[in-house]
Amino acid sequence: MQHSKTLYEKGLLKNLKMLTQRQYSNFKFVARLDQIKTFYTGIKALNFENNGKFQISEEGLRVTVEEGNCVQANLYMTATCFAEFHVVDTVTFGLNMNIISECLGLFAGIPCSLKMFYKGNGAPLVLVLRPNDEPDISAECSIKTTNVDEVIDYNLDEDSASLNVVFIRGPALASLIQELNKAADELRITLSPRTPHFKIESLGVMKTETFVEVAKTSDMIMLFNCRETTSACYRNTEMRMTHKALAAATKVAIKTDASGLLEMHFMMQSEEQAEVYVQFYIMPLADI
Amino acid sequence: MKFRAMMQDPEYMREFLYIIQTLSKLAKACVMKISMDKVYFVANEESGSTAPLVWVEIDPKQYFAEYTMQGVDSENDPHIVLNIPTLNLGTALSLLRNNPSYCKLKLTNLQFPCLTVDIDAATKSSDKSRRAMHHVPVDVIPRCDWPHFAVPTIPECKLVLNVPSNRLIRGLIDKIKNLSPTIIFYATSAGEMNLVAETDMATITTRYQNLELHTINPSDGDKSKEHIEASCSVDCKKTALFFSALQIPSTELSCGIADDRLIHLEVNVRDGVTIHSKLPAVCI
Repeated sequence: MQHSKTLYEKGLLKNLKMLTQRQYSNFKFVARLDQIKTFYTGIKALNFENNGKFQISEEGLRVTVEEGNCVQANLYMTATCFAEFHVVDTVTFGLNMNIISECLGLFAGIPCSLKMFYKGNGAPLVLVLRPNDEPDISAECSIKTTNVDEVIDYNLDEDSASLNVVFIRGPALASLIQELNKAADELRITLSPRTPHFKIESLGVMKTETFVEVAKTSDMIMLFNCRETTSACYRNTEMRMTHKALAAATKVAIKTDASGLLEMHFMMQSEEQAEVYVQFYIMPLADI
Repeated sequence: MKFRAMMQDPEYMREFLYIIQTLSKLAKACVMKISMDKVYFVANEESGSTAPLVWVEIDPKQYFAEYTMQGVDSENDPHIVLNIPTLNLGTALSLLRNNPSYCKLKLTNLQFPCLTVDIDAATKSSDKSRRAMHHVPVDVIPRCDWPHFAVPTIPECKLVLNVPSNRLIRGLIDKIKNLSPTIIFYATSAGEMNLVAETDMATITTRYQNLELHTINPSDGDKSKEHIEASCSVDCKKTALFFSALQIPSTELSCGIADDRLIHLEVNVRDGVTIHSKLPAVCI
């Protein structure tokens, strides 16, 4: 924050706490992205709740957002996605998702590079944005970080006999969900080795029902691995939280088992072809 | 009292439509002041609203192919001052989008005073053109009230810099307004401008470098300094509204800063057509 420091000396900035990161040394976390587009899309997909938790380790970056105890969303970016990635041990901090999302969008629609710095407990996360074809313009944002609690670990039992896995093309699933009744309260997702192989039903207040069935031979299904019939209901407001991620996904994986816990993976094709994906865990509604 | 003007250049006509649309996004009614050598449109929403004060200056001799006016006071500085509903005028002019061959503006008196808009535009379905005439009711402001409708003066600013590509600055301020209520413009005579926003949660500074210096008016205390600086904090929503209302795809914006007093934004549409706005300073 070399530049912001001069502004502080002029009296234009008042909060010195936000400008503690003067030297380049002693950083707990430094990362550089040549293109922020994928990262920005990922952050926007998670922006349904304000409290975001950043966990950074040698392997990469994980951002977690939870809504009550019912929905958990994770953005995973491996270290290879970054042009530069340096972290000391494991770093965790909390951040307001809305603010980071607005900051990343400062130069909306223009190709931009990003540098992130974090100096450790209590220090802000500093973002430096530079539009690629406007060398004379740059932005520095420092965002207050908070301490965070542990996040809940959701897990589907990989060895479970009832584990069902389906891979679907992203745009196809997005248009399918679009056609369902948006005012519906609940969505029932059924996966089965017999017909209907994959079925989404929407149940509305007025007992209105719409449903879509997809056969496993359909073009949109990339992989279909079902052993037992599973069926569970999910709250539509919670399913809607996945829409931004779904709109940006090239490929979606849906996993569930007899417990009904729904795991969805949204793969985002990044420019460098490296793995970037958003993962959602959604708890089922109890069957009454 | 007489006023007639005609435009023939399709580009000028489209621009004229954009100007009126810009005004209609800012205020319900605008004041049109017609004199021999200038035509002004002033959009000044009542105090208390977030809309900024915006005025447009047009040199009629360059802009209109034909221009005649006879003001009330024909001896010295004859004027006509009208109050026009911007939305109605915008609708009347909307035909200017489809390749018009001419557009005439005329002050008429039907049962009440009207600004008559007469447009001859091409139709898509046939090669014949169609002619549309709209009468937009206006209020003629009597001479005794003119002092209340004076055109704002261009303020003297300590530093005026030319900022390129207002597309970038529009998006920027639009995002910042969601985070902070005020924004500080800080510029130096070295051609640097900073937009600074600070809240409890975040600090955002955006830096523009190598900007072209337009004017400089150093105060007495500043003359000995190497770099002259100026800064002013303004309402972020007001600033954002000016940029989002701007319908004209222009490339250059000049930004004048008068220390802790105001910011003067000026968009030069072409020679003789300028859009101005004044943003008052706010205390943090």
